[in-house]
Amino acid sequence: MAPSGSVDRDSLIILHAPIGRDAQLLHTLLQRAMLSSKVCSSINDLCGEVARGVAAAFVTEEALDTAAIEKLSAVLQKQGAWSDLPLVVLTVGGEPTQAIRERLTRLEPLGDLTLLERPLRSDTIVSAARTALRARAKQYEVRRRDAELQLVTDNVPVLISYIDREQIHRRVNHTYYEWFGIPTDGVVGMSVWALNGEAYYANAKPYIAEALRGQRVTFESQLWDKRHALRDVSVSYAPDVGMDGAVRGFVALVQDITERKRTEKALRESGQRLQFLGELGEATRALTDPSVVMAIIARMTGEHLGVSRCAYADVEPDEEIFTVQYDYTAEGCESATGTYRLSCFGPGFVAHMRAGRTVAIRDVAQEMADDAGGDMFRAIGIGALVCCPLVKENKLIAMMSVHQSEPRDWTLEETGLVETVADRSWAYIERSRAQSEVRASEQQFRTLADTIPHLAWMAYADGHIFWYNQRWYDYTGSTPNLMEGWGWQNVHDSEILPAVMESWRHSLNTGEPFEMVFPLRGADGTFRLFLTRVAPVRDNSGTVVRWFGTHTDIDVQKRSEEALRRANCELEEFAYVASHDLQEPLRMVNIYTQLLLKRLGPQATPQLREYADYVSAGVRRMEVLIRDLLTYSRITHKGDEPDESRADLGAALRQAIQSVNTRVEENHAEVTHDPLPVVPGDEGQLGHVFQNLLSNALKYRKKDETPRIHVSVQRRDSHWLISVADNGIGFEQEQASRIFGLFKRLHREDEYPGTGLGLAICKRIVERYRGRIWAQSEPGVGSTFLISLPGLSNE
Amino acid sequence: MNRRLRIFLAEDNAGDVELVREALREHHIDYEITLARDGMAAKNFIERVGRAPDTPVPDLLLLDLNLPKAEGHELFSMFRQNPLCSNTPVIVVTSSNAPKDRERAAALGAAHYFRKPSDLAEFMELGSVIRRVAAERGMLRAEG
Repeated sequence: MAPSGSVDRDSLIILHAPIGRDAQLLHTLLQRAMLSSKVCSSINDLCGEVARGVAAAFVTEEALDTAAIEKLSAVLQKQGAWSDLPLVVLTVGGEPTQAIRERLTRLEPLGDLTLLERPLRSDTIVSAARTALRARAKQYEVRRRDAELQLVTDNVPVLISYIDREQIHRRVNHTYYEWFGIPTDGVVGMSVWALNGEAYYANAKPYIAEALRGQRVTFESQLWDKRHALRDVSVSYAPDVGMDGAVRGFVALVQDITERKRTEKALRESGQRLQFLGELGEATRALTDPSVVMAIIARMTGEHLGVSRCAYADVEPDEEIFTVQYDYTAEGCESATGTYRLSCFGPGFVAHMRAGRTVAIRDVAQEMADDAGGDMFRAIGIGALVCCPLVKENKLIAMMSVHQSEPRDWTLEETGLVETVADRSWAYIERSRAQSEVRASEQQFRTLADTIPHLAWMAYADGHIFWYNQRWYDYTGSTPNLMEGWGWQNVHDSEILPAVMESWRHSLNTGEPFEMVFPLRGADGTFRLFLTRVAPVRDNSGTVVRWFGTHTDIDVQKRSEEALRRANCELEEFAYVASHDLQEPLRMVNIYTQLLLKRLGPQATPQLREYADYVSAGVRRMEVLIRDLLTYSRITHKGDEPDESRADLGAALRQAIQSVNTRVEENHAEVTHDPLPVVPGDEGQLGHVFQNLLSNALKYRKKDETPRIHVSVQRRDSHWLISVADNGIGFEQEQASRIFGLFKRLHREDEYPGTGLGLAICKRIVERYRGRIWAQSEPGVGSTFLISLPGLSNE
Repeated sequence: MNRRLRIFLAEDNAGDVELVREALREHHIDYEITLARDGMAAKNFIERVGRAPDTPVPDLLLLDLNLPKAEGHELFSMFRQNPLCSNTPVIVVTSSNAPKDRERAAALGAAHYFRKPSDLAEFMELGSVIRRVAAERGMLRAEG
């Protein structure tokens, strides 16, 4: 018994007997047999109960008029396929009338019809009721199994259907609704052709035929879904073969494999991409010409993607002008090499490029308006494109672009490939540019090295020489093969080579620069003297990576120096000899004049003595001349270069004053001076300058005035300015430069005796110490001699 | 003791030879001069000295450094190498004032380096130098 209030409809028997007490009687009978029943007052009531679900129905004959049967048929038709509702019709008695039979014929396909004659026997009623319930219970089992099956199939993401021999869907799972957007009820009854479309059917047709011949088949195809997306599917047909061996239809399983396909494709493409990029790297690795690298990349990328054109463009620093140096074009497509303005391609495109965003356009005609760059793209025959900008440090520097003359769907894989290639191309092109720049600069260096008048070479850190300039080969008359490495030893003087090697090895071990003078044998077999300098070339870490050596031909210079040295020696010698040989006759003249006078004794007249005095004066003057000339000649020839000696000008001046002291005292002269500095130079020689100047100042004094001489000093930048000023007779300023010349005099010998060498000597001495001497004078006022001398370098 | 001083004079300049004689006379030195007027003659003398009767070992050598046909210092060395003359005093009489001449003369043990002056009185001083050198070796009294 079902609990009161809730009826177990799966065991509920409904009763409809509108006339008499039959209904009540039946209800009582069934109740006694512990069977659940319910009395319906009208046919409508009965139909309502059936629609809600009942186990069986008992209806009297008289209740089933034509209208009632019509209503009941409608309800029964809506029952599931599993349902065959037990329907017990209680006839009036005896054989059912023809009329009732005809009416009941309509119900036969819809229910499990049983006729019972009245009057009703209680055991017959109960038995019929139990039979009906048993039959209904079996139906419920079928219903349950069917529901379970439906539940399973509905929840599988696979299209499952049963298709009959006429290729009509007999049964489909819920997935059909999800896929096609058509209620499953609507799908049932549709043909394969009508549901899936012509294209699919054309593909599936042979497999359907196969399935209907009893073969299990599987194939792949494509199917539009309700979103009008074409999806990849895997289709299996399993034939339904009856006991008699006849094929009644087949079960179709249609599985969406779009994702799997995509993954497989992606994997395949990714493999291809890696392989492609590898090949690209390989093809450009050894190349050093950027334009060749560009050409190869464009061709390989263009062919790989099957595009009409592939171009790499360099963008100028203004981010506006760009140049396509070389592009790949498929047959029938024109090259687009040239220089363009980026802004001609529309502001949107420009913005994407400068922001570093890849632009992929499927159909230029549809997606780009003329004034948004579309006209420009079309003008160079671009129907679809992918363009990848290369932005480095916020600057657009290059673009890589693939074009298709017709619209084209670019896959993510393809755009990704163009991006990767663009990035790598830049790296490859920059690498080759850098290499070619290095090569160019090396070429420039070698050209330079071949142009210089020096012999030059480069060695590895271990001293192995790998390059010589052309001058080396020209001079030595050798060949690269003979010279490579350590072959240079052959052009050395074997006497000197050990010393060269020792010094060179020292440099190699310590990294210190090498400098040495040694002879090298020329092509003609004669040796010339070279100054050799080798400098280490270090890397950033300070390690010696190269040696760069030069040989400067100093043969002529050395010979000149040697000749000069010899000439100086000879001159020195000459000066001594000259002084000796010139003075000897004078000594004889002088001494024998004196001996003459001595021999004459009292016989020598005053006139004879006066003559003798002239002889002596001439001799003395000659002696002074010889001495001064000797002094003059020795100034420049004393040594090659001024040495490191220091001259204390204070001491030099004191010495000079001392040497003219007699005349200072005789003339009551006043000599004053500032504190004097120490300068580079020879104290004795610079003292000689002071002595000459003081001597002149005293000699050319005014007869009626106390001679005043002042030596002052001023610092002028790196020089000292020393002036020797007097209040003497002075001279015309235009004579100022003339008086420093050899033998130049302003006065007659008998007025002011002199050799005309004093100031020339001063000039030579001052100039020897890189100084300058000049004079300022005014007749009757006095003269000032100015000397500029370099100070000590550390001052 | 006061005897005649045997002097070997190597001097090419006749004027100077006469001045040397004058200086000796002025200082009252009794002398006997063997003269060589050039380097070759001086060499011949030095080779023969002490070996022939006509070439006795001199008491003093007066040597001009600047002689024709031979270097003065070379003659000086030759003279010193002759064992008979190794202790004979040598006075260098020269017009050279070159330091290297002075140094070499000192190195060879010259008794005096007399630079020829251009004043007569100063030249006469050579006489007193000769007397002093001879006196030091006991050949003459210190004062004539």
